[in-house]
Amino acid sequence: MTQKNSNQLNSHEAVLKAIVEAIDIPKSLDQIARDRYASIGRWLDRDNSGIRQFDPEIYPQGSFLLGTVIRPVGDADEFDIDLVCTLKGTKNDFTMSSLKVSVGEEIKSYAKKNGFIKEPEDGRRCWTLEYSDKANFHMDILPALPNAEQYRLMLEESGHTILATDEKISEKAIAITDKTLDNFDIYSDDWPVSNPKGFAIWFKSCQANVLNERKQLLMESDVMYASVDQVPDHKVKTPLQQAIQLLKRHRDSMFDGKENKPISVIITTLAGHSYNNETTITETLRSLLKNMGGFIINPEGESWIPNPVNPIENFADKWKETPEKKQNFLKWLEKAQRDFGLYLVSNNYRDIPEELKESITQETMSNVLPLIVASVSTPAIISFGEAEAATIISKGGATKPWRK
Amino acid sequence: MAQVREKQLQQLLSTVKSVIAFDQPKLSAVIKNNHVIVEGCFSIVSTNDSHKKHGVIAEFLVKIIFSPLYPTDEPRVLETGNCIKHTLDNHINTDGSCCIVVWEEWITTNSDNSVQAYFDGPLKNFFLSQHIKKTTGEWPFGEYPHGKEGLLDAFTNVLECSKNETKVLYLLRILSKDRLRGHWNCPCKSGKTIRKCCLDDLVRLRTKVPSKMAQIMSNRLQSYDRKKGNISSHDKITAKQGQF
Repeated sequence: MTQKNSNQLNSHEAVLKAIVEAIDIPKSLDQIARDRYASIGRWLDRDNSGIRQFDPEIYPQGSFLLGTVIRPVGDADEFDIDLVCTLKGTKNDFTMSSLKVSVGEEIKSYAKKNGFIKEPEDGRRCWTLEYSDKANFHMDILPALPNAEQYRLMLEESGHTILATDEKISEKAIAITDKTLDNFDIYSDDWPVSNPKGFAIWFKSCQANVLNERKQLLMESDVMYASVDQVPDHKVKTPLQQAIQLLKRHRDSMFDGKENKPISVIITTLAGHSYNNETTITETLRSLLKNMGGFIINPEGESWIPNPVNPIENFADKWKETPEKKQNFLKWLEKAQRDFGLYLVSNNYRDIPEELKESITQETMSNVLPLIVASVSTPAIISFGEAEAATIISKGGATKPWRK
Repeated sequence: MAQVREKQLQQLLSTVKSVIAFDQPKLSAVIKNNHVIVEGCFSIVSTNDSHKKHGVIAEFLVKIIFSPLYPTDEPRVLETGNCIKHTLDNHINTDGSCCIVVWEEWITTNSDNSVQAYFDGPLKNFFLSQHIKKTTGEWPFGEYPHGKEGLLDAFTNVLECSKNETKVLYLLRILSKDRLRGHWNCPCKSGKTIRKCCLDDLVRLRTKVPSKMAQIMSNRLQSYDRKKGNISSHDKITAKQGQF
């Protein structure tokens, strides 16, 4: 926490910003994570790499790509970073199994060369690399193949022709492996489909105006950048990203250690839909919390939350077989509405309700609370009432009491 | 029929819940006895950003009863915290029920009669008025006189005419008909027929006060002259809601 911030904690917005800063990945660790996956990328592409002929590309996906990473509850510096490793091959070159093994061999040799204590773990879809130095990252690396053609076809067949012809999104689609599938070991066209980069393009489009404004501001204050286009997305933070980070922390503390908590991709998707270019975290949280529920299709019955870049995929597909997942989402949303509302609507910025402190976690709040400054003078609240009445009159909204 | 009513109630509950979500964190809503009941602490919040950081302007404990026929039926509001004296002068009956607004006036003079508009308009205005009255002794938006006189004032305002009961009732009679009778005497007392006089004004007025509403307003005004016990349908609804 910087001294500069401590001087700014004199409003709800400043307090929320400080909380986000406390739960966000620190800039130094963010850079280490980027350096580390770049280093893996160089290893996979080295001269004697077994997959070099497939021009391996490694890039982040999920919250690291979207800028919504948060510290785990407990505030340890243990971040999960999700990566994709795409080989420019086809399903004729690989079975799911052989792709997983080919990428896995190189990751294992990387781990050996760099003295990792634990050998990379072979998960259902990913390889997990566990760093055990001062920056304790878990890196999940998802082997993948480009899959634009099949993705376009799939969207066209299901009637989503506009999305199918959006090349910016469809060309980013990938085919991924899953060792629980029957065709894992045989050559097949039928691979699971994913599109993390396409999702990120959609997410960016939800906040394009504010993102560009923030980039513009950074460009004006940093000589490194000659134009807005040169400013990488991850160098700026938007209120949508910050509000999602707060919501995810609220979720994590509510379901700490419990199963069936609301999943991040549902929160992010509903948040993206609900966002209306608000410029503060406070306004964004209000907009998100009031509108998120409205973007669930058929909330009373078999609910559907379509993947915005692949509407055939229902992010809420597990809600049917495990109704607790749906109940937990609705419970969480109601609690988040109340906890954030209690602070941002009912209380002054100095008094954070216990409910919200618990939801953000006491550990995090103990870093933020000492930085909240008291008002210079106690305001005459009654004048606010009269000022509000004057506003209502000026807008023509006055109504008079009467007795029957 | 019961299914339709249940669906209406569920829809109203969902609307009310979305209105109070985040903005009224100390209120909760449930369905009880075929009505949507909102209970808890109603917060009056400033719309001025620089004032918001100091928290709410005032809070009042309330119980709000919405009929599934909202907005045809006026919600019944009870002040349950006894923060305001339940007196005639405070526009609160002894049972705590609040005289928020002349319902017909609000319905006809506002294009938005949603639950959100009700919370942001009459409900907020009433309790903000109470808060200011308590500290300054003044009603910031004014007040209507009690009973029939206040009703007449409000209807005069709606009909944009002079405060004359006979005239108001005649205008409401004209508007109550399914179509304007052009051969009737013009209410402006010019001696001409409506067709040859204020037809355009009345056509405009009809969009504001449809025939059903004109009938309700007329009945309500006349109910004061009827013998005790012969209360209007609106008052019947209000009396029925008294069971909560």
